[in-house]
Formats: sequence, C-alpha cells, structure tokens
Amino acid sequence: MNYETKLCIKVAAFLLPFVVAIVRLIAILPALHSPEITAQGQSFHEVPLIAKNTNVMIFLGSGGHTGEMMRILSQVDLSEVSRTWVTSSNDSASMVKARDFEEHLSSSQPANFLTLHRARAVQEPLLLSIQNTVRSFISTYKGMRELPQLPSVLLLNGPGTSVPLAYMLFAMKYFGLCTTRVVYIESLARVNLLSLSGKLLLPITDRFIVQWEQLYYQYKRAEYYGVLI
Amino acid sequence: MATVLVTTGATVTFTRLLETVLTPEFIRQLIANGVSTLIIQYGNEIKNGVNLSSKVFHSLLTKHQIVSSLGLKAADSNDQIETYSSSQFTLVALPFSPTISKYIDQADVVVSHAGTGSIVDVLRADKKLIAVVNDELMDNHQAEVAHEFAQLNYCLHSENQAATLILHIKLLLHGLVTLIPFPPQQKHIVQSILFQEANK
Repeated sequence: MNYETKLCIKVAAFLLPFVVAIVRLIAILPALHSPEITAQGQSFHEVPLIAKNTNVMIFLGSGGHTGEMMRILSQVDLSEVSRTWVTSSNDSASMVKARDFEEHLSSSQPANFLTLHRARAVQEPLLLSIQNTVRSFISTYKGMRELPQLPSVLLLNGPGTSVPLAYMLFAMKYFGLCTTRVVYIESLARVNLLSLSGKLLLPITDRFIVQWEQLYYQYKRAEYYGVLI
Repeated sequence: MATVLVTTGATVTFTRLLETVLTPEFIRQLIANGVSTLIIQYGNEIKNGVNLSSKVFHSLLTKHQIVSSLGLKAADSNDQIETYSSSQFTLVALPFSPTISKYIDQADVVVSHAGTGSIVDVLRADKKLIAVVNDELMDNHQAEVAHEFAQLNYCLHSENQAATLILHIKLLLHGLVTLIPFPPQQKHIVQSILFQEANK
C-alpha cells in the first residue's frame, strides 16, 4: 500500500465514528422529523389501549408548574401504567402532591418516587446556575440507574431541573439504553414567548404542546388543543 | 346578599393586594354595594417555621383596627379559619385550604392573583373573576396572562387599587358587564398523547 492509500484509510477511520454519531443523532432527533400530528383542535375521543409494562415518568417542577401538572393529570387515568414521580430536592410540596395523587388512585401498577438535585433557581447568578445544572445531571444519572424500569414516556412542563432530566434520557436513548418518548406541555403562563426550558427542550421532545394559539403559530412543531389545565 | 372571595394563591404572600383590601374603608364600600360576606385566603408562605402570610394579614387587621371599627366580633375559629361578624357583615380568613373550591363555590365574585391555577379554578367553577397582577414576583408572567384572559372576555383585569377594584366588583355584582363562559376541561387529550407515544 502506498502512502496515499494509507492516509486515506486513516482519515476515513478517524472520521467514521463522527459520521456514525451524526447519523445516529439524525435518526433519533425529534426536531428533524416532522410531527405526525399538527392538526389544531383534533379530537381524542378514543384513548389508545396501553401496552403492559408501560411506565410514565412525571416531572413536578414546583409551585405553579406542579399546580398546572396536577390539574392536567386530573383528566388522565394512570391506573393501568406504572408511575415514576420526579421532584427537585428543594421542593417537598410537590412530593406531597404526588403522594396524595397516588393515595387517591386505585391501581395494580407500582409507583416510584425520585428526588433530583435542583437545577437553576429563578434569578440565580450564571456561575451558580451552571454548577447546579451539572450537579443536577449527575444526580439525574444516578437516579435513573436506581430505577427498576426506565420510562416509556416522560411528561414534563418545566422549569429548571426538567431540562437535565430530559437531556439525560435523550442521551441514554442515543446510546440505545432506553426508548423514552418526551412530551412537554408549556405553561399556560407563557402567552407569546416560550420559556427557557421550552426553548431548550423543543429539539428533543417528541410532542411539544402549547396552551396559547399565538405560540402554536410561531413554532412548526408545536401542537395546540386549547387550555389543558 | 353577596359574597366576595379574595384569594392570593398558596405559595407567595400577595402583600399589596391584602393592603388594598384590608381597610375599614374598602370593607364599608363592599357593604354599601350589598356584600355581606368577605372571605380572604391570605396565603401560606412559611419561612423558618413562621407563616409570613399570616403575619402580614394579622398585622394589617390590627393596624387598621378592622374588627373594632366595623363592630365585628370574633367567632370560634377552627382549623386556622377565623370568622369575625356583626349583624350585617362577616369576615372569614384562612391561610390556604386544599378545599379552596368550597370557598370559590360560595362566592359571587372572586378577586384573585393572576396565577394560572387560580384563574382556571375560578373560571371552571363558572364564577365571576377579577384578576389582579402580583407585580412583586420575579420572572413573572401574571400580567400577560391576566391581559389575555381579560381580552378574551373570560374575566376582568383590575389594577391593584381600592377604587378600581370596588368599581369592578360593582360591575360584576350588578351584572353590568357580561363575561364569556370558560370552556370545560377537555378529557382524554393528554392521556391519548401519552399513550400514543408510549406505544411507539
């Protein structure tokens, strides 16, 4: 083999992992797949049957976010799936609400509870914010490893800690460790602009739902069904 | 005889709204407009074991001598619910109730902070709502939300000012403005989406 051929093989061998990495990303990145459902005001009269061993992970963000999520869940029958409730470390009130929901649910499926290190707090300085986000990633990874089952679907509505959680599951999906689909519902408080969590999560969510028509028109991948809370 | 509920949400104390509402003058105006019961949910903000919301509420009550100047008498309070009443007027106060819907149901008009949860709870109960923006909050979208709901005619949007608030209460109590009923919560949407995705 002459020098030139060897060089070509070396370069190709060097580039191959990058190409594979990018192809894999293209294959799973929801942002690159046009959503199947964009129809506004579509009706859902029939709930699809759910496979056994389905796990739904619900993230409770704190305060108003948790309030909205619990109102949304008041219309969702989770008795046939197992649930994993995730809250942030500085937010015991949300955990109380999750346990309260479980007490009122008669289900043969188990429920798990997971507490993650909180990410960014409102008005936190950038450096501290980054530090907390990194800690949040680490605690998320540890938390995922402890779970008996990785979620089939992750339902979240922001803020802070939901971003590392969703990206962690996306990274695990990238490496074929799980098949979690991500469903994000933007807060009703966001009328004209997406929240920071919403913007960061838009590329990796499989379903991105907004509650104001203004936002629906701004984003190609957004779905709108009116107020859901 | 009408009932007005003032609610500040569960988490953060809405001090400025409490300051507007908790004066003998404001309450006299309410009575003059046919209000016989005022229910105040003042909040449950706890720091180092102290309920800050309760502190704000009680200091205002004492500062303006509301109980004595309106000739009210304290009735037995239970479960943190206080009642003060005279022959023509009753004041009920509570920090936060998980069964706030019970109080919403009693009210003819609700004055609420513009948190999405509270707004939706009141509108879904088919009650007349006046949304007041809490501008003490940081990173807050109450103004946008209140504006949007008022624009759609689901509720009124009032400044946090005694005269404006009284005017809005009057308009709603006497049916001088017509609001549009808020659509009921749609069933199955989120569940369908979750299950569609789970089955993929």
